[in-house]
Amino acid sequence: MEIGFMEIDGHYLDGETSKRVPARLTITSVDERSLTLNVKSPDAAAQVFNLDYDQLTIQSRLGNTPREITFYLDAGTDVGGKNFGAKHSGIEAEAGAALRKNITTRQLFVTDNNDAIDELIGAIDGPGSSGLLHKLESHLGLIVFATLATIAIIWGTIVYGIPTAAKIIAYQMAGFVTEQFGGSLDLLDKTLFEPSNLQEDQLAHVRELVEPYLRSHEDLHPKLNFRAGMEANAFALPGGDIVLTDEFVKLAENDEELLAVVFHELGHLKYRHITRRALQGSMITLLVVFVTGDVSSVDLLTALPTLILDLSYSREFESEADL
Amino acid sequence: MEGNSSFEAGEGSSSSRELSFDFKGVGLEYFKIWIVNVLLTILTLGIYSAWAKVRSHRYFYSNLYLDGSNFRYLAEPLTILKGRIIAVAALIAYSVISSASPTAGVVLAVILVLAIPYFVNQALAFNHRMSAYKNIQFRFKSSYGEAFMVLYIWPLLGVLTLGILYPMAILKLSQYTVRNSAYGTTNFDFKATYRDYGIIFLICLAWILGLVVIAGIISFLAPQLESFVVIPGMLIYFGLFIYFTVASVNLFYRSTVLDTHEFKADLTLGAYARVLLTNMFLIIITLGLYFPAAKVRMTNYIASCVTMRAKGSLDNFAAAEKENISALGEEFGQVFDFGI
Repeated sequence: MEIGFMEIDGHYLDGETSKRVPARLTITSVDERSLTLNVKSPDAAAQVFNLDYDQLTIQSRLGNTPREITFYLDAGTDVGGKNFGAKHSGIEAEAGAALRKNITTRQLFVTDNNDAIDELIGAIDGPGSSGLLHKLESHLGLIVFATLATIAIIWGTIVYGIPTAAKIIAYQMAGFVTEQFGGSLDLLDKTLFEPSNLQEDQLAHVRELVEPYLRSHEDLHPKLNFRAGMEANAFALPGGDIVLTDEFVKLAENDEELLAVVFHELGHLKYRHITRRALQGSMITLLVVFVTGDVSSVDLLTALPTLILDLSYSREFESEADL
Repeated sequence: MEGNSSFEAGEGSSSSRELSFDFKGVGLEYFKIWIVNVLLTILTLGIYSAWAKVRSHRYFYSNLYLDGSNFRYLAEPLTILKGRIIAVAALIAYSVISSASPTAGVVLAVILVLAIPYFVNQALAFNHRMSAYKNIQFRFKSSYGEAFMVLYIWPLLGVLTLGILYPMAILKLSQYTVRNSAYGTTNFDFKATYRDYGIIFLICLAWILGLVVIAGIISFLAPQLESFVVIPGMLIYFGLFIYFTVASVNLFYRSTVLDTHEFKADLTLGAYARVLLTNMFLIIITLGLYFPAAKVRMTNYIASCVTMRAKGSLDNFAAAEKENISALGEEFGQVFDFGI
């Protein structure tokens, strides 16, 4: 096919009404970068637009979607053709009025023939000047590489990047966080917990047992608390409060068991686990949102990876606390 | 080359035609676009995300056909990028200010709450204007007051009346989105009633109650199976989600009217459930890589169920006046998560 006579079939839409009309785009001259758009209309004579290549906006190629070329008519555009007063499905157009109306309205030429458009761009603008993104998106080898690279980067971020970042932030934030989380126990006291029902001598015994060890970890501001209102449990809040429930104290068979658990909880405090977990949770969510773009179709799907990763992080924390 | 059947058929002014929406996207084709989007977004630390969004929207719009013509997404990546940068800066400023001074944070939060109806209007207006069919752009125009009512007051009433007015809240929201939308100079109308939504609501309640009763009976008769109560729980959640989506999408389309033209959707519980569940399964076993193909598959299914009954010619719609809406509303919506 000789480039000079390349014809591309498509449709023309004038942006004033929703009527779609067949049209044909032709290159008139490669050197002068000029094209002609012939618009065929069944009820009137054809319109002919003589266009300059540089006044066209050619959409980048995207898969196999129809290619859109838009342009505006400026005063210099030559619109030839007879019978401008043609009736277009009920919209009367006076000869002069039509030309004035069209100047600020975007004109559209749409075609399915992506390859021909690419050739046209290549002919006038030079080879290789179009569709870098499309080339990336069609080259299967590149796609495989992109997929593997993305998986590797994301895996690295999840397994190394996020935990490390959370660790650094948590340690830096130490003082600030202690203050913020200090109120947590008050909140729990208002909602869930009741004062401990254990005997005074029992409480004194546990305190005597544990407190010497707490003193050697003063930087964590540990404070022993006893509560009732929950089944056997022992946990540490970031502010330093260690809470032992009545059921737990009763359940502990001997002093060593009790101490072991307290130490485990101290471990959580030392390694700032709760803070890190909270940070990691938010980072994972951010990552998922970031990667899937702004699609929020099924929120269940985005919550699931966050949940799974949170569970796996927790296990690591538990092991670390045992140290 | 596509046939020009719209031409001849369009001239018959009293004829009524059933036009189907066709989605021509292909999973693998979109996956390639999607994976390049993801990789480039990561490599540019998020800046490419504006281009990614445009490419993604363009793919879904341009592959959707009605009556031989496809839709178009007109937004420019730079506009979206500007909006995003401003929105993220605002978010950071808000976080910093509210952690430094809680009172200032509360004041800012109140201002944000009051500003949301304005941003939602802006976001919808921007998105509509960036959508075109046959080179005529869509429009959205609403008042602050209406947005405020629809976003805050009606849902609040729904909760205060223990759910009785909740279907009304959903109806008002749909009316707000549809009746304020226009194709060119022609407004859409929305014909559903409170009763339509009320019926859906009641069926959902019945579904929940039914399964709760079954779960109760099971755990009463066979206490050792109590851990299996989780299964009715999941059935409730999925069944509810599937029923509600199918019923409300079908209701939405059959209530929407444009001039003399009507729409219809016939999603079915079985087919929708099948698409949704196989999508979820495939996404999980491919560790998320199936996600773009799942989106294509779902869009394909829904498009295949929606039809337009056109009475008369579709060629007579006229374009509306030009206006300039910034992308700020839409991007604020994304960052602060308005999710309409």
